[in-house]
Amino acid sequence: MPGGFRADTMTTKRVIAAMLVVFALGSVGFMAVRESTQRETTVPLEPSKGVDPGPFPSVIIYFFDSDKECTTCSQLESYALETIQRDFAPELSSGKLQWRAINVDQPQNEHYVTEYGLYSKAVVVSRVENGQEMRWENLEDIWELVYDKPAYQEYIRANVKDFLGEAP
Amino acid sequence: MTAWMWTAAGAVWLGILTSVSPCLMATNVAAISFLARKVNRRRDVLLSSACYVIGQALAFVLLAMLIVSSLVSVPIISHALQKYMFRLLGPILILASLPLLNLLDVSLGSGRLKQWAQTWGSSGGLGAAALLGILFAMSFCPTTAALFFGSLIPLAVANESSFFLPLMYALGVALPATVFSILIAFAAHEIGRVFHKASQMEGWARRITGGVFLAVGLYFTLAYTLQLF
Repeated sequence: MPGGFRADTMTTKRVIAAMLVVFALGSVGFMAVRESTQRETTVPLEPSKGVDPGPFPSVIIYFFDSDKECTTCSQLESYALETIQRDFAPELSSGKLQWRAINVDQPQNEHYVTEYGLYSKAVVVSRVENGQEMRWENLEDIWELVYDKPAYQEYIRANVKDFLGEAP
Repeated sequence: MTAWMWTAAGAVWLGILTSVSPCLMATNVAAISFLARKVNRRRDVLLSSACYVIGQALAFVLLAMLIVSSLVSVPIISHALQKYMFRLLGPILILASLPLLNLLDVSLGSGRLKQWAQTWGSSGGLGAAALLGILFAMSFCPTTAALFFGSLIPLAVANESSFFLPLMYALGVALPATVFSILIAFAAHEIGRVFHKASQMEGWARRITGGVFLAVGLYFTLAYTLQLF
Protein backbone atom coordinates (compact mmCIF):
# COMPACT_ATOMS: atom_id res chain seq x y z
CA MET A 1 0.00 0.00 0.00
CA PRO A 2 1.72 3.24 -1.14
CA GLY A 3 0.42 5.37 1.77
CA GLY A 4 1.59 2.85 4.38
CA PHE A 5 4.95 2.43 2.63
CA ARG A 6 5.46 6.21 2.62
CA ALA A 7 4.59 6.43 6.32
CA ASP A 8 7.05 3.61 7.07
CA THR A 9 9.79 5.39 5.10
CA MET A 10 9.12 8.64 6.98
CA THR A 11 9.32 6.83 10.31
CA THR A 12 12.58 5.10 9.33
CA LYS A 13 14.05 8.43 8.22
CA ARG A 14 12.99 10.07 11.51
CA VAL A 15 14.60 7.25 13.53
CA ILE A 16 17.85 7.46 11.54
CA ALA A 17 17.91 11.26 11.88
CA ALA A 18 17.29 11.04 15.64
CA MET A 19 20.04 8.43 16.06
CA LEU A 20 22.56 10.54 14.14
CA VAL A 21 21.69 13.69 16.11
CA VAL A 22 22.03 11.81 19.42
CA PHE A 23 25.33 10.28 18.27
CA ALA A 24 26.77 13.63 17.11
CA LEU A 25 25.73 15.60 20.20
CA GLY A 26 26.54 12.69 22.52
CA SER A 27 30.07 12.48 21.09
CA VAL A 28 30.67 16.17 21.82
CA GLY A 29 29.31 15.70 25.34
CA PHE A 30 31.53 12.65 25.87
CA MET A 31 34.58 14.58 24.63
CA ALA A 32 33.83 17.49 26.98
CA VAL A 33 33.39 15.20 30.00
CA ARG A 34 36.58 13.25 29.19
CA GLU A 35 38.58 16.46 28.77
CA SER A 36 37.27 17.88 32.04
CA THR A 37 37.97 14.62 33.93
CA GLN A 38 41.51 14.43 32.54
CA ARG A 39 42.21 17.99 33.64
CA GLU A 40 40.95 17.32 37.16
CA THR A 41 42.65 14.00 37.76
CA THR A 42 45.98 14.10 35.92
CA VAL A 43 49.21 14.65 37.76
CA PRO A 44 52.17 15.82 35.68
CA LEU A 45 54.01 12.72 34.52
CA GLU A 46 56.72 14.55 32.64
CA PRO A 47 58.98 16.88 34.57
CA SER A 48 58.69 20.49 33.54
CA LYS A 49 61.43 21.81 31.31
CA GLY A 50 64.76 22.52 32.92
CA VAL A 51 64.72 19.57 35.31
CA ASP A 52 68.02 17.73 35.06
CA PRO A 53 67.46 14.00 34.78
CA GLY A 54 71.02 13.08 35.78
CA PRO A 55 73.99 14.22 37.85
CA PHE A 56 75.97 15.52 34.87
CA PRO A 57 75.28 17.98 32.09
CA SER A 58 72.85 16.45 29.66
CA VAL A 59 71.10 17.19 26.47
CA ILE A 60 67.44 16.34 26.04
CA ILE A 61 65.88 15.95 22.64
CA TYR A 62 62.15 16.40 22.81
CA PHE A 63 59.84 15.23 20.08
CA PHE A 64 56.55 17.03 20.67
CA ASP A 65 53.73 14.90 19.33
CA SER A 66 49.93 15.24 19.30
CA ASP A 67 46.88 13.01 18.88
CA LYS A 68 46.63 13.83 15.18
CA GLU A 69 48.78 11.46 13.13
CA CYS A 70 50.14 12.05 9.64
CA THR A 71 52.75 10.43 7.40
CA THR A 72 55.08 13.45 7.46
CA CYS A 73 54.77 13.63 11.26
CA SER A 74 55.85 9.98 11.60
CA GLN A 75 58.87 10.74 9.42
CA LEU A 76 59.77 13.74 11.60
CA GLU A 77 59.98 11.44 14.60
CA SER A 78 61.48 8.31 13.01
CA TYR A 79 64.22 10.17 11.08
CA ALA A 80 65.27 12.10 14.20
CA LEU A 81 65.22 9.02 16.43
CA GLU A 82 67.18 7.02 13.84
CA THR A 83 69.86 9.75 13.76
CA ILE A 84 70.16 9.84 17.54
CA GLN A 85 70.36 6.06 17.89
CA ARG A 86 72.86 5.70 15.03
CA ASP A 87 75.18 8.66 15.65
CA PHE A 88 74.94 9.14 19.41
CA ALA A 89 74.69 5.61 20.81
CA PRO A 90 77.41 6.10 23.53
CA GLU A 91 75.85 9.37 24.74
CA LEU A 92 72.39 7.76 24.79
CA SER A 93 73.51 4.74 26.81
CA SER A 94 75.46 6.88 29.28
CA GLY A 95 72.48 9.17 29.87
CA LYS A 96 74.34 12.23 28.64
CA LEU A 97 71.77 12.43 25.87
CA GLN A 98 68.08 11.68 26.32
CA TRP A 99 65.20 11.28 23.90
CA ARG A 100 61.69 12.14 25.07
CA ALA A 101 58.52 11.85 22.98
CA ILE A 102 55.75 13.92 24.54
CA ASN A 103 52.11 14.26 23.48
CA VAL A 104 51.11 17.89 24.06
CA ASP A 105 47.41 17.08 23.61
CA GLN A 106 47.49 15.45 27.05
CA PRO A 107 46.55 18.08 29.63
CA GLN A 108 49.62 17.44 31.82
CA ASN A 109 51.91 18.26 28.88
CA GLU A 110 50.17 21.37 27.56
CA HIS A 111 52.60 23.66 29.42
CA TYR A 112 55.29 22.78 26.87
CA VAL A 113 53.25 24.54 24.16
CA THR A 114 53.78 27.97 25.69
CA GLU A 115 57.17 27.22 27.25
CA TYR A 116 58.73 26.31 23.91
CA GLY A 117 56.38 28.31 21.65
CA LEU A 118 55.18 25.23 19.77
CA TYR A 119 52.80 25.67 16.83
CA SER A 120 52.91 22.11 15.47
CA LYS A 121 54.83 18.88 16.01
CA ALA A 122 58.38 19.86 16.85
CA VAL A 123 61.89 18.72 17.73
CA VAL A 124 63.41 20.80 20.54
CA VAL A 125 66.98 20.37 21.80
CA SER A 126 67.63 21.44 25.37
CA ARG A 127 70.85 21.61 27.42
CA VAL A 128 70.42 21.11 31.15
CA GLU A 129 73.07 21.65 33.84
CA ASN A 130 72.51 21.28 37.58
CA GLY A 131 68.77 21.25 37.17
CA GLN A 132 68.75 24.43 35.15
CA GLU A 133 68.00 24.67 31.48
CA MET A 134 70.92 26.58 30.03
CA ARG A 135 69.61 26.92 26.49
CA TRP A 136 67.16 25.37 24.09
CA GLU A 137 66.26 25.55 20.45
CA ASN A 138 63.17 24.62 18.49
CA LEU A 139 64.53 23.08 15.28
CA GLU A 140 62.03 24.85 13.06
CA ASP A 141 63.60 23.81 9.74
CA ILE A 142 62.48 20.20 10.24
CA TRP A 143 59.27 20.85 8.25
CA GLU A 144 61.29 22.03 5.23
CA LEU A 145 63.98 19.35 5.45
CA VAL A 146 61.81 16.31 6.18
CA TYR A 147 61.35 15.67 2.45
CA ASP A 148 65.15 15.30 2.12
CA LYS A 149 66.10 12.61 4.64
CA PRO A 150 69.93 13.00 4.52
CA ALA A 151 69.65 16.80 4.92
CA TYR A 152 67.12 16.38 7.75
CA GLN A 153 69.33 13.92 9.60
CA GLU A 154 72.41 16.11 9.14
CA TYR A 155 70.43 19.06 10.56
CA ILE A 156 69.49 17.02 13.66
CA ARG A 157 73.02 15.64 14.04
CA ALA A 158 74.70 19.07 13.78
CA ASN A 159 72.38 20.63 16.36
CA VAL A 160 72.75 17.76 18.83
CA LYS A 161 76.55 17.90 18.48
CA ASP A 162 76.44 21.63 19.08
CA PHE A 163 74.35 21.17 22.23
CA LEU A 164 76.61 18.40 23.47
CA GLY A 165 79.43 20.91 23.32
CA GLU A 166 81.17 19.36 20.36
CA ALA A 167 82.03 20.96 17.06
CA PRO A 168 79.21 20.16 14.62
CA MET B 1 58.60 40.47 -11.61
CA THR B 2 59.08 42.59 -8.49
CA ALA B 3 60.13 41.18 -5.13
CA TRP B 4 56.66 41.93 -3.80
CA MET B 5 55.05 39.82 -6.55
CA TRP B 6 57.42 36.95 -5.75
CA THR B 7 56.40 37.18 -2.10
CA ALA B 8 52.70 37.13 -3.08
CA ALA B 9 53.34 34.13 -5.34
CA GLY B 10 55.12 32.46 -2.42
CA ALA B 11 52.05 32.97 -0.22
CA VAL B 12 49.79 31.46 -2.93
CA TRP B 13 52.19 28.51 -3.22
CA LEU B 14 52.10 27.95 0.56
CA GLY B 15 48.29 27.92 0.28
CA ILE B 16 48.37 25.35 -2.53
CA LEU B 17 50.78 23.19 -0.49
CA THR B 18 48.31 23.44 2.41
CA SER B 19 45.34 22.40 0.31
CA VAL B 20 47.08 19.31 -1.10
CA SER B 21 48.21 18.09 2.33
CA PRO B 22 47.05 14.48 2.78
CA CYS B 23 45.47 15.35 6.15
CA LEU B 24 43.02 17.69 4.39
CA MET B 25 42.01 15.09 1.81
CA ALA B 26 38.72 14.24 3.53
CA THR B 27 37.66 17.86 4.08
CA ASN B 28 38.59 18.73 0.48
CA VAL B 29 36.44 15.87 -0.83
CA ALA B 30 33.55 17.11 1.34
CA ALA B 31 34.05 20.69 0.10
CA ILE B 32 34.23 19.65 -3.57
CA SER B 33 31.11 17.50 -3.31
CA PHE B 34 29.23 20.33 -1.55
CA LEU B 35 30.24 23.03 -4.05
CA ALA B 36 29.63 20.85 -7.11
CA ARG B 37 26.28 19.42 -6.03
CA LYS B 38 24.08 21.84 -8.00
CA VAL B 39 25.17 20.42 -11.34
CA ASN B 40 22.30 21.95 -13.33
CA ARG B 41 22.87 25.48 -12.07
CA ARG B 42 26.32 26.55 -13.18
CA ARG B 43 25.81 30.08 -11.86
CA ASP B 44 25.06 28.67 -8.38
CA VAL B 45 28.19 26.48 -8.52
CA LEU B 46 30.32 29.52 -9.37
CA LEU B 47 28.66 31.65 -6.66
CA SER B 48 29.01 28.90 -4.04
CA SER B 49 32.68 28.48 -4.95
CA ALA B 50 33.19 32.25 -4.64
CA CYS B 51 31.50 32.23 -1.22
CA TYR B 52 33.68 29.31 -0.12
CA VAL B 53 36.80 31.28 -1.14
CA ILE B 54 35.47 34.37 0.70
CA GLY B 55 34.85 32.27 3.83
CA GLN B 56 38.38 30.86 3.75
CA ALA B 57 39.90 34.29 3.06
CA LEU B 58 37.91 35.85 5.92
CA ALA B 59 39.09 33.17 8.36
CA PHE B 60 42.78 33.27 7.40
CA VAL B 61 42.97 37.08 7.16
CA LEU B 62 41.22 37.57 10.50
CA LEU B 63 43.44 35.00 12.20
CA ALA B 64 46.59 36.54 10.69
CA MET B 65 45.48 40.04 11.76
CA LEU B 66 44.87 38.85 15.35
CA ILE B 67 48.32 37.23 15.44
CA VAL B 68 50.23 40.07 13.78
CA SER B 69 48.62 42.62 16.11
CA SER B 70 49.64 40.35 19.04
CA LEU B 71 46.05 39.93 20.22
CA VAL B 72 46.46 36.17 20.29
CA SER B 73 49.50 34.00 20.94
CA VAL B 74 50.57 31.72 18.08
CA PRO B 75 51.28 28.64 20.27
CA ILE B 76 47.98 28.92 22.17
CA ILE B 77 45.70 29.52 19.17
CA SER B 78 47.54 26.95 17.02
CA HIS B 79 47.33 24.30 19.75
CA ALA B 80 43.65 25.01 20.45
CA LEU B 81 42.64 24.90 16.78
CA GLN B 82 44.58 21.68 16.11
CA LYS B 83 43.30 20.00 19.24
CA TYR B 84 39.62 20.90 19.07
CA MET B 85 38.59 21.73 15.49
CA PHE B 86 38.93 18.20 14.09
CA ARG B 87 37.20 16.87 17.21
CA LEU B 88 34.20 19.14 16.56
CA LEU B 89 34.26 18.79 12.78
CA GLY B 90 32.93 15.20 12.80
CA PRO B 91 29.69 15.94 14.72
CA ILE B 92 29.18 19.16 12.70
CA LEU B 93 29.49 17.26 9.40
CA ILE B 94 27.06 14.57 10.63
CA LEU B 95 24.48 17.24 11.49
CA ALA B 96 25.13 19.02 8.16
CA SER B 97 24.52 15.77 6.25
CA LEU B 98 20.95 15.42 7.56
CA PRO B 99 19.29 18.05 5.36
CA LEU B 100 21.41 16.98 2.38
CA LEU B 101 20.07 13.44 2.79
CA ASN B 102 16.49 14.70 3.32
CA LEU B 103 16.60 13.33 6.86
CA LEU B 104 16.12 16.57 8.74
CA ASP B 105 13.06 18.07 7.07
CA VAL B 106 11.00 14.91 7.73
CA SER B 107 11.77 15.20 11.43
CA LEU B 108 11.01 18.88 11.76
CA GLY B 109 7.39 18.95 10.56
CA SER B 110 6.99 22.52 9.41
CA GLY B 111 8.17 25.99 10.27
CA ARG B 112 11.29 28.10 9.93
CA LEU B 113 13.76 25.36 10.87
CA LYS B 114 12.38 23.09 8.17
CA GLN B 115 12.57 25.94 5.67
CA TRP B 116 16.19 26.56 6.64
CA ALA B 117 16.99 22.85 6.33
CA GLN B 118 15.52 22.73 2.82
CA THR B 119 17.44 25.85 1.79
CA TRP B 120 20.71 24.41 3.10
CA GLY B 121 20.02 21.10 1.40
CA SER B 122 18.98 22.23 -2.06
CA SER B 123 18.75 25.75 -3.42
CA GLY B 124 20.77 28.72 -2.28
CA GLY B 125 23.28 27.69 0.36
CA LEU B 126 25.71 30.52 -0.37
CA GLY B 127 25.99 31.36 3.32
CA ALA B 128 26.53 27.67 3.98
CA ALA B 129 29.39 27.60 1.44
CA ALA B 130 31.04 30.56 3.21
CA LEU B 131 30.51 28.91 6.59
CA LEU B 132 32.06 25.71 5.28
CA GLY B 133 35.04 27.75 4.04
CA ILE B 134 35.56 29.25 7.50
CA LEU B 135 35.13 25.89 9.23
CA PHE B 136 37.56 24.01 6.98
CA ALA B 137 40.08 26.88 7.05
CA MET B 138 40.25 26.70 10.84
CA SER B 139 40.67 22.90 10.86
CA PHE B 140 44.44 22.75 11.12
CA CYS B 141 46.39 19.51 11.12
CA PRO B 142 50.13 19.41 12.03
CA THR B 143 51.33 19.88 8.44
CA THR B 144 48.99 22.78 7.63
CA ALA B 145 49.70 24.41 11.01
CA ALA B 146 53.42 24.31 10.20
CA LEU B 147 52.74 25.95 6.82
CA PHE B 148 50.42 28.66 8.17
CA PHE B 149 51.93 29.45 11.58
CA GLY B 150 55.51 28.53 10.75
CA SER B 151 55.83 29.88 7.19
CA LEU B 152 53.03 32.28 6.26
CA ILE B 153 52.84 34.23 9.52
CA PRO B 154 56.61 34.96 9.64
CA LEU B 155 56.34 36.02 5.97
CA ALA B 156 53.40 38.32 6.78
CA VAL B 157 55.22 39.79 9.79
CA ALA B 158 58.45 40.35 7.84
CA ASN B 159 56.53 42.11 5.06
CA GLU B 160 54.17 43.94 7.45
CA SER B 161 51.26 42.46 5.55
CA SER B 162 48.53 41.05 7.75
CA PHE B 163 45.89 41.37 5.00
CA PHE B 164 47.29 40.88 1.51
CA LEU B 165 49.58 37.88 2.04
CA PRO B 166 47.02 35.91 4.12
CA LEU B 167 44.51 36.73 1.35
CA MET B 168 46.89 35.30 -1.27
CA TYR B 169 47.42 32.25 0.96
CA ALA B 170 43.63 31.76 1.24
CA LEU B 171 43.29 31.92 -2.54
CA GLY B 172 45.95 29.22 -2.83
CA VAL B 173 44.19 27.05 -0.24
CA ALA B 174 40.77 27.38 -1.89
CA LEU B 175 41.98 27.16 -5.50
CA PRO B 176 42.24 23.35 -5.97
CA ALA B 177 38.88 22.59 -4.29
CA THR B 178 36.99 25.27 -6.21
CA VAL B 179 38.57 24.42 -9.59
CA PHE B 180 37.79 20.72 -9.12
CA SER B 181 34.22 21.40 -8.01
CA ILE B 182 33.56 23.63 -11.03
CA LEU B 183 35.07 21.05 -13.41
CA ILE B 184 33.10 18.19 -11.84
CA ALA B 185 29.82 20.14 -11.86
CA PHE B 186 30.24 21.16 -15.48
CA ALA B 187 31.28 17.64 -16.54
CA ALA B 188 28.36 16.07 -14.64
CA HIS B 189 25.95 18.52 -16.25
CA GLU B 190 27.25 17.66 -19.73
CA ILE B 191 27.05 13.91 -19.04
CA GLY B 192 23.47 14.35 -17.76
CA ARG B 193 22.56 16.41 -20.82
CA VAL B 194 24.01 13.85 -23.25
CA PHE B 195 22.07 11.03 -21.60
CA HIS B 196 18.95 13.20 -21.09
CA LYS B 197 19.23 12.76 -17.30
CA ALA B 198 20.17 16.31 -16.37
CA SER B 199 17.32 16.75 -13.88
CA GLN B 200 18.13 13.45 -12.12
CA MET B 201 21.84 14.26 -11.86
CA GLU B 202 21.25 17.03 -9.35
CA GLY B 203 19.25 14.77 -7.03
CA TRP B 204 22.04 12.22 -7.11
CA ALA B 205 24.72 14.87 -6.62
CA ARG B 206 22.92 16.08 -3.50
CA ARG B 207 22.63 12.54 -2.10
CA ILE B 208 26.31 11.88 -2.85
CA THR B 209 27.23 15.12 -1.03
CA GLY B 210 25.13 14.04 1.96
CA GLY B 211 26.76 10.61 1.89
CA VAL B 212 30.26 12.12 1.77
CA PHE B 213 29.45 14.48 4.67
CA LEU B 214 28.05 11.59 6.71
CA ALA B 215 30.98 9.27 5.96
CA VAL B 216 33.62 11.92 6.72
CA GLY B 217 31.66 13.05 9.79
CA LEU B 218 31.40 9.51 11.18
CA TYR B 219 35.09 8.86 10.52
CA PHE B 220 36.20 12.13 12.20
CA THR B 221 33.86 11.52 15.15
CA LEU B 222 35.13 7.99 15.75
CA ALA B 223 38.80 8.89 15.14
CA TYR B 224 39.13 12.34 16.72
CA THR B 225 36.10 13.08 18.91
CA LEU B 226 35.82 9.65 20.54
CA GLN B 227 39.45 8.68 19.73
CA LEU B 228 38.52 5.04 19.13
CA PHE B 229 41.34 4.51 16.60
